[in-house]
Amino acid sequence: MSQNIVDVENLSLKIGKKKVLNNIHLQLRKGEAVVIAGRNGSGKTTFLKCLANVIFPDKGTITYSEKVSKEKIGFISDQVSLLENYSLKQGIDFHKDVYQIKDFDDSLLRELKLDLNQKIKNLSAGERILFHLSLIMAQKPEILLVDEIIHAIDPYIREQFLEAVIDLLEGDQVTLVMINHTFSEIEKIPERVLIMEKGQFIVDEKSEALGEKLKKVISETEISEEAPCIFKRELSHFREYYIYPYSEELKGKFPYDYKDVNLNEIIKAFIGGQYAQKRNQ
Amino acid sequence: MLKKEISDVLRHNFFFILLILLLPAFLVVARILPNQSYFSVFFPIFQFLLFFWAFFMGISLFSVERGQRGMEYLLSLPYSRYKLLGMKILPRFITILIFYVIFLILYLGEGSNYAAFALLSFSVIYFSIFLISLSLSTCSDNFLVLFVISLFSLFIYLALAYFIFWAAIKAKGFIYYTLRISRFFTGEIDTILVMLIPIIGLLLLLPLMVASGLAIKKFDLRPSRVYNKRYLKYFVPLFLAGVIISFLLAYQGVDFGYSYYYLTQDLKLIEHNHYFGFKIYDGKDVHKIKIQDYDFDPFAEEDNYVYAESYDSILKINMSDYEAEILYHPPKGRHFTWPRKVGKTIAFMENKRGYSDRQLVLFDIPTQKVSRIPLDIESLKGYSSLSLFGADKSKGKEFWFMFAWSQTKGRGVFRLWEDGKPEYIKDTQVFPLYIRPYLITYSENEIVISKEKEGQFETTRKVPNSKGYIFLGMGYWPWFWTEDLGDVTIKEIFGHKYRSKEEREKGPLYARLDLETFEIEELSDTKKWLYCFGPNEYYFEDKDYDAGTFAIYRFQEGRSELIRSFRISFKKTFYPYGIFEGGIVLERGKKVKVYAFPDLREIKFKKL
Repeated sequence: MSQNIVDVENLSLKIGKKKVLNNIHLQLRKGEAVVIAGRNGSGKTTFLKCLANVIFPDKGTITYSEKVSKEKIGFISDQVSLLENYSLKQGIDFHKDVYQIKDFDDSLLRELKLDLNQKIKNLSAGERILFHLSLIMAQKPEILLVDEIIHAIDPYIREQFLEAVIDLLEGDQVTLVMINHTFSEIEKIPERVLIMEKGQFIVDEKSEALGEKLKKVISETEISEEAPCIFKRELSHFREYYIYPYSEELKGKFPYDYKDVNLNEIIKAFIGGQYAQKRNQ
Repeated sequence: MLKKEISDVLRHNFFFILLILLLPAFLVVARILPNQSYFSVFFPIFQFLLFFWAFFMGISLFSVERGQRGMEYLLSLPYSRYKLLGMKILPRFITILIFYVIFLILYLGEGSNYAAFALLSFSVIYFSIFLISLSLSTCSDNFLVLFVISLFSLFIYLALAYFIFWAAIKAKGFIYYTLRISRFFTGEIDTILVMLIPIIGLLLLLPLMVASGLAIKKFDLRPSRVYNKRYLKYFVPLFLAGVIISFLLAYQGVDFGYSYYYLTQDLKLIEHNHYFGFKIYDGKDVHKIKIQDYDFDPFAEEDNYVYAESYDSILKINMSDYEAEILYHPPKGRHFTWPRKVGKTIAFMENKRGYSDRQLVLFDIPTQKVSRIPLDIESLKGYSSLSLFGADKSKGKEFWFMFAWSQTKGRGVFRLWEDGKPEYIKDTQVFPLYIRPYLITYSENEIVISKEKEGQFETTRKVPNSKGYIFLGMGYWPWFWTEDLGDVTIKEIFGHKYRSKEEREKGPLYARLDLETFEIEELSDTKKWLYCFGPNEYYFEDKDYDAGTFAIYRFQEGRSELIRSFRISFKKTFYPYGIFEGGIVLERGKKVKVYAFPDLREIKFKKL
């Protein structure tokens, strides 16, 4: 049984008057692949930055396993923050020096045919992401924190990136925490899904279990209001109802035609439901 | 990471050095500043730009990363905030130090006598700019905003430091001390303030630095206002504490310095300090007189008035209603010495700087009229020193005795008549004495006693004085004016002679000259120093520096009788007490005690 690699207790953070993180409790195990989803402004990125030590919480603690040193935490975000005036070579040397890296695998860079003497600021967004990923991979991280970078890169680089991530995940070498909005290409990666709303995790389920607990009902007529519908979508001739939590007992009570949904749709349902709730407030 | 910081700082310094080297060269070559040497243009530019550089080194802490959009990357690096800060500050601080040392070498090489004070002020401002801008470097992402805030903070800091000193001085009751800013650069401020400047400067900087140190522990990518709120939470109480402690320190440290005390014949105590003027203690209360003067040396008391010599004026203090007025102030460029009061006249020598245009000045107290008798006349030429030592009248005309000294002409006595005519009386080897009707002068081994007969001073007696006693008056000090004695006849005077160098600390040897028999009698029962406050009022003072004691003896009929002894510390000064006609004023640390003749009982003064 894997031990906890990160323990988050009572994490809270405010920016101005807004409570961005609200008393979060979370444990992450070694080798676990977690995806965090939620609508914009729910606190996902802030939470990830807290894990990366870029932002400090106002309250609460983040405790890493004793075996995890700071050099073993890799953080990459869509803002792709690097020292832009450095050349690639200078950036690599700097990163190697800080993280005490002996060997640097530049295969990803060679794949893209990048000139090591060019400045980082002259790279495209996708190239920068892969360059940053190369740096982080060289650290041999035990915790990898990825913040919404998939949408920023082209399909080819995306594939390269995902293959690299999958390689890392094999053999429980790394704990992955990823923030994403689209899940069609990464459906097989996360084993655990966290959905964040107003600074709290409203859903924390294994991917498979979540698939069992959320079903869709397509109906031309309204379904019972008593059915636990988290999100409803009205299309031209019919309606889609997303039911959560689904169970066999519920089916007995509300005998509709329940359909399985993929992770992408599950996330959309939750996020859509949050928006609907906000509209109704 | 440290290598990166050093590289960044070196790169910045390269451009700065280019600027400070090339700008003066440009100004000289382009003849914008013609007829100036390169160094004379370079040095002031360098000095000025150093302030700017200290400021830049401070606020540029995160400028490279902000400029390269690398803040998130920087903060995700595996360093604590303190370690990160340390690696950033170290090369910048070393840079500041190196430039400071270069400046010192160039500045002190100029050899200015006022270097110390201007240098202290420059140093305080230079390092303050660096520390202030460093402390505020995380308060905003905007360089321009940082620049304005830092400059403003520097201004507030300097103004506050100045205000604290000013407030302490005012609260302490200084009246005549002005704290002009120029004093900090020209060396006119007192030593104690010089010592306090860096201490208080640091105390006011500490809140900035400590608050930064505490706030930076959680420095992150949230908006600056979050950091600033945390910073202020620490800064405000620290700042208030710093201001209060600075004020208390300044208040304690600012000292009036030395006060001079004078005990009048009717036992009122005058305290003079050139920072607050005068305080007069009458036993029940204290009366303040706000009159500024740098010195206070009383030379006469009469009818409830005290007359005193100051640095450049003659004061008259009314001891009934506690008012003071400046009776006389010499014209610009002139300087007077040793005023003496004879009746309603105050007489003194006055001359221009360089001891030229000498005059005997007679100030009539009731009318405040000034008469001047020129002394640069033919018969007095060649005498480099002229000193008054007596006054009298003959055939209804006033005259003044002068001791004249010349390296070539020798020493002699002149009588200067009120119409300005000098009359040479006789030679004297040593400073003479006039006790009506006798003029006492000195020849090789004799004391020559002269008396006026038909307008001339004739020798009436020569007293052998092989041991060389000198009779300066009715005691060792002071000598006096005959007219002040009224009808009192002086029957004896005392003289002294210094012992050998090895025995000097035992005090002089004393002798008595009987003015009836003109016999010299050597005294045996004497102590160290003789004081005379009038006929038959003689006191000996005997002090022992090592034992920390001094004693006062009454001297009568050849015998010394102990009145009282005191324990006193001579560590801070050899003169922690004063002996006056009324008694003794003793200073013990911050306390002052007064003891009145004849028995030296202690008298208390309220509010002393």
